[in-house]
Amino acid sequence: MPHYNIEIRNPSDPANSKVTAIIPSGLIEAYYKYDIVRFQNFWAVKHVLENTKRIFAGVRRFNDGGWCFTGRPDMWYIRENVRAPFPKDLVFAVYLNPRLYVYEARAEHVASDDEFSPCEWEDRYSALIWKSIS
Amino acid sequence: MEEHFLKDLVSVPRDSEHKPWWNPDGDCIIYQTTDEATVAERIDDILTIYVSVISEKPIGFQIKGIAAMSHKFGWAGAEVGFKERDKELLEVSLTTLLLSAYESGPKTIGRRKAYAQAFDFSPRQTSLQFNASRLSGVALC
Repeated sequence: MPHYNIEIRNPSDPANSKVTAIIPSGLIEAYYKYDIVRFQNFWAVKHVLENTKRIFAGVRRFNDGGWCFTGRPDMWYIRENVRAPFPKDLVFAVYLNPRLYVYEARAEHVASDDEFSPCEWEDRYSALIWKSIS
Repeated sequence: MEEHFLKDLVSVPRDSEHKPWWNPDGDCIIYQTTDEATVAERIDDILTIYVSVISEKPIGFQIKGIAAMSHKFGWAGAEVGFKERDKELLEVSLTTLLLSAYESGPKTIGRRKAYAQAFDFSPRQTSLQFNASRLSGVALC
């Protein structure tokens, strides 16, 4: 099965270059098979990767590397085929492994001091490496 | 309704039953009982609880670092619920995973409550099989 390729900010040089990330076919099929709302929210994944507001590095304790891209879609799916405004107290986080394969996408509570950072990001990630100024 | 941009990449049927599944690219196991949007409540480095944004109740979980945990802690301490061959993990029960994960961290009330929730809605007698040759970069058989 083919993967889905998507151009994103290069986390190694986010201000200046783009790179191809991959939404793996295994993740697409697993979401479709077991959790249709997550599958439908690949729209939010695409939006966040194309309109990234923050990039964090060092996101996994047991595995080296990895990145977290965050942003906020206008709308998301809350039930199958049911869309709703994305809540203001949440941020949408897309996690990529060092090979730039998306492995997780989810809503998280937003940090109290930044509308595009997940709560407790200072304790969870090794660094905030880029933030949008727009 | 607009057709989903990934629809053409899907060749599997939808499963009528919710099951835990192995995510090799994330080295994690994901299980959710209901098709609803969730917000992730991170409990510790291993366990994340998924809380429904509709009912505000926990409806799933993610266990991270499976391959790494198996290498670091091994599964022998759990004594039940796992199969291995030549020190390679072949199959492990969700209960064993949750127990091992819980025992690897501080015994706080918050963690105990969250792990108890995960136990509560975890399917019983469910084992996840691994492709042993790929455990460091793993696949669910």
